[in-house]
Amino acid sequence: MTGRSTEELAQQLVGDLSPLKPIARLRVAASTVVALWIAAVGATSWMTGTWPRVGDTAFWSDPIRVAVLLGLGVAAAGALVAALAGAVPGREPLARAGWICAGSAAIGLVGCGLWAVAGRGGEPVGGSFAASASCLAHALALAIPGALAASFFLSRGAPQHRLVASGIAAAGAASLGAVVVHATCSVGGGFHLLLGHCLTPVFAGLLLALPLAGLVRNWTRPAFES
Amino acid sequence: MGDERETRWRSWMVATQTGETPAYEKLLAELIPYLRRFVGRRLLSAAAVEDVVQNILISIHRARGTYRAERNFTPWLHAIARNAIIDQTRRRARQSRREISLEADGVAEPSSDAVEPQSARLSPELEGALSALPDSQRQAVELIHLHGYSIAEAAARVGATTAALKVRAHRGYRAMRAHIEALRLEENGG
Repeated sequence: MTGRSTEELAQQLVGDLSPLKPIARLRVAASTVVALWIAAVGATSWMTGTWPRVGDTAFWSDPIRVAVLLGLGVAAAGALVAALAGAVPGREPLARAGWICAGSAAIGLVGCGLWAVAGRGGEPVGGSFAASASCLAHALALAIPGALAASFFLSRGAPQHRLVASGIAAAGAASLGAVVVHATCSVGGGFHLLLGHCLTPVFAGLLLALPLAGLVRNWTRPAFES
Repeated sequence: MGDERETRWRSWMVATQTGETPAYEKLLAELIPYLRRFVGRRLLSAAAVEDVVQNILISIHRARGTYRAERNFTPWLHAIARNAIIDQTRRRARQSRREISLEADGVAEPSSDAVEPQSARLSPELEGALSALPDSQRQAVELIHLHGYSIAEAAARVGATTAALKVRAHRGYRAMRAHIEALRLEENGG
């Protein structure tokens, strides 16, 4: 701080005041992200003709697949809540709950992936990498609209750590994408399940945190500079 | 009392979001003493309290769009204040790790109860090194290590930022060390 008094600073802040719209409610922000995800899934499914295997009994009778689907869903919800609530002062308890959900789901997903590798291993790892990269790319593509919306809401909020908030938002959006990819994909190898499905939120968080943080920074309203 | 205040602050905050400066002025005028007490209960140094209160006011200004009228104002305010206190604590910890101890540089540590200039207590060698410094660096070293001021307090006294003061003090220590080393080398060589 410079040598100015607190009362002088208050006067400067009053002079800098301009009207603004309050941030959207959390449920509106979360619903927007989910709506964009549904739109992206609908559009790609309509274009490719590949729809999630919702009615496939073989899918629902495989406990690992069901557990991974559940884990991705919980990871998505937890990560998005952690990111969006973390950007609103006073909503820290909700953000903490989101972090706990997302963290537990991530651990569970890694556990499921390892369970799949142990139970189904033996697939050629090279082929598994190619298929996994394709599933990861598909999940990331489906995540983009939701991630952009989440970044917009973050830019209107006050995240404590922009990079961390962007990373967790990316992980949440990518988990939503991975839910659809997982429900569509017919590759059953253990390594593929681990790399291409279970670890998608982690890869997305690492890959997209920086670009999304840049967007959040650019979209943030110019603010008072001390 | 608390409810009345909550209602008042909430209505002023909502008015602030529409750009009403009188409401903002009244809100800040009431928040400053409240925040001084809130922060003062958690921090020891008076200068640090003032620093944190100023940071909180800036954060309130920047994050004013994140307040929603249907939620209580005080928890929102406390969350911002707590974050500012945590930031300040972290910053202090980082500063103390970075600050070069005069002792490590071969210069005596000042006594903690020192309030008056104590150049008289310095050895001629140190006094010479100190007086050879440019004014701004000498002032920084004297305020922090001879008068016992914290960096924030010293910065406030000279009207500089804490970062600028740290740089001046750091350069001062380095120059003093170089001065003393050169003297010792001369003595050994001679």
